[in-house]
Amino acid sequence: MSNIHRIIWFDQEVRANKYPNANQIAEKFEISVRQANRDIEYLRSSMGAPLKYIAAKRGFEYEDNTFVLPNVYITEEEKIALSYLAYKYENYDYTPKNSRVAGLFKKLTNEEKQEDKIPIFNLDDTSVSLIYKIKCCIKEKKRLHIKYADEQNGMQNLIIHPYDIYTMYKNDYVAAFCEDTGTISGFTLERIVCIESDNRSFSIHTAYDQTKLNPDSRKVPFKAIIEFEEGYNSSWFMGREIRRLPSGFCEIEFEDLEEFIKDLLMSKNWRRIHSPTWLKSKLKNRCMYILEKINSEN
Amino acid sequence: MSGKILSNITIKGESRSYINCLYALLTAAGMFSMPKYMLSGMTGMAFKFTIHNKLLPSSVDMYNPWENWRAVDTLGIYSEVFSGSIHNPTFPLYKKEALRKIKQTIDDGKAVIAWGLNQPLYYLICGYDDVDRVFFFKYIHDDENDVMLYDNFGFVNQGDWSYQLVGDSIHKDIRDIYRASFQIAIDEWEAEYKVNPEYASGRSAYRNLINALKTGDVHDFGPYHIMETYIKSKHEIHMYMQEVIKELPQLKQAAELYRHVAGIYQNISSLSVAKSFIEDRKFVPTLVELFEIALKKEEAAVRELKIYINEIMGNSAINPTRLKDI
Repeated sequence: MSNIHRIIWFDQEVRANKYPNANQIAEKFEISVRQANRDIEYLRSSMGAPLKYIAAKRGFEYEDNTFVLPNVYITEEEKIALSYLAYKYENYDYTPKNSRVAGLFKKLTNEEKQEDKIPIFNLDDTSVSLIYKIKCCIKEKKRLHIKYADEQNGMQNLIIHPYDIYTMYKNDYVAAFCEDTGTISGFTLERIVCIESDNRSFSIHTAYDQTKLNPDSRKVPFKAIIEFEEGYNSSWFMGREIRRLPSGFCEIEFEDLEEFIKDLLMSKNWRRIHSPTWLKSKLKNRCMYILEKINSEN
Repeated sequence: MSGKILSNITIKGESRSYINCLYALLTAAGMFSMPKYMLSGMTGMAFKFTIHNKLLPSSVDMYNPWENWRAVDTLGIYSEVFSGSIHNPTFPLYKKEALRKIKQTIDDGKAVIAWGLNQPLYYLICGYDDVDRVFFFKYIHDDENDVMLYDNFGFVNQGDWSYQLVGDSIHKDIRDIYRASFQIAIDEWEAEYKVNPEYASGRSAYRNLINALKTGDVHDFGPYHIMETYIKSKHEIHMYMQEVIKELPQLKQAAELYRHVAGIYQNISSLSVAKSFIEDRKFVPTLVELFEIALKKEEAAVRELKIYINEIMGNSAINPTRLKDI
């Protein structure tokens, strides 16, 4: 049984001021006290519950009663799958819509905060576990032993230093330095048959240039120079970073034009678009189009 | 000049993406006034029939950019095609030259056809702005233009970057244009594959199509995209041939065979598919039967074209200037 059932029960008991503890969870769900303690720890650390142990009551209460359990509970296995989906969407065709979906999956997996551990995979999809393992080794700069079905040389046993995972023409690659050949190249993920880390560290080769392997990383985003309303001092505009210019205006980079137009239409915080000209006319056209519709209703 | 936008460009999605773009370009420039199916036939593009062994959607546009040069050449129109990979070390030089040439062509009042920036389709570059360093382009009819930074020229969704510039035209006898298009039709039919062996062409494309349907190892929406495209193409060929026989009545039999083929594809379009291959598997036996008939009809139609072209080629091999010496 998933620990979510136990966590929900524990949360209800806390809210009812019944001061539950690990022994009660263990008894109720017929699990070990050690496992029950892990549930409480999970509720506290991963779900951010403000739990406080009250010695006099031998149980827990919430320090802040406004705390609510997250609506979406995602298991570790689901997080791995979501992390994989985030990567796939992010790299599928670089359209803004897909970037947003990728961002959503990332948020759900809480990828930035998550500590990477080599997990035990119960998923059937080998590419999910493959990407996750490689990502962990990239982050920790650990060497990988791979069995690689090379197009020309057949099956090869190689030791690689993985630097990055990227997608090109709908294929996934890992950019890596290969100890056996002494070169940096892209290894097709689907040709990697077997993978194992030996926990030995590496440092990135000075000759590594991501843009040579993955030209899409050279793509330049659009830039808009915008003047914001007085008092708007945030460093972010609709999830995009604002760069304050000496002129007092702000520069914002964006890749998805349609999404940026939507954000401009939604926000009241900006006062004027200084450049580019085409962005102004696009926004103007959209507004005219909407106005025409509204006026025709009248 | 710091910028220009050609405002008279309208792209309608009635044919394959290349023809939609070429038609919009030529009609806006006043260089073509016939219906779109005529352009599709005259350029030989309607005869292109490429199918991936797993029915990938890219099947319909998978061919060498050089073939676009040949398509425009059949019309008697000058064109330049440039293509390459972003991996080429000389790419920055080609990019610089491309920006110059594209802007020059737009200044001359003509749009430029380019390949797959955001989607694996051809699009038209119809404007530029040097201040913001952007090109304006269109995939299909839309009042607004899309925008591409000069810096991002060459980044394509799939394959290599490519663009085509169209220049002036010479007068060409319509019958010569028809003949050139038949030569393309024959080449397409006889070619084993395009780009790589997975994308079979002509006669072999039917083999891929039938095999993929039988095994069920197909792309999710590829079969539907391919069928939509080729139903249009076969109809275009039929319409085109009806015009052709007004000038070349010898090809009545070929036109009749192509009418049959278009009819078969029309039958396929009338199947009420669910657009989910699992649900639509029940149609496979019918489809296989129809495609086998279509294959035979097309084979016979191409045979007719070959007989006609061989006769013409036999006669045109005589150099009239040498006749004077005999």
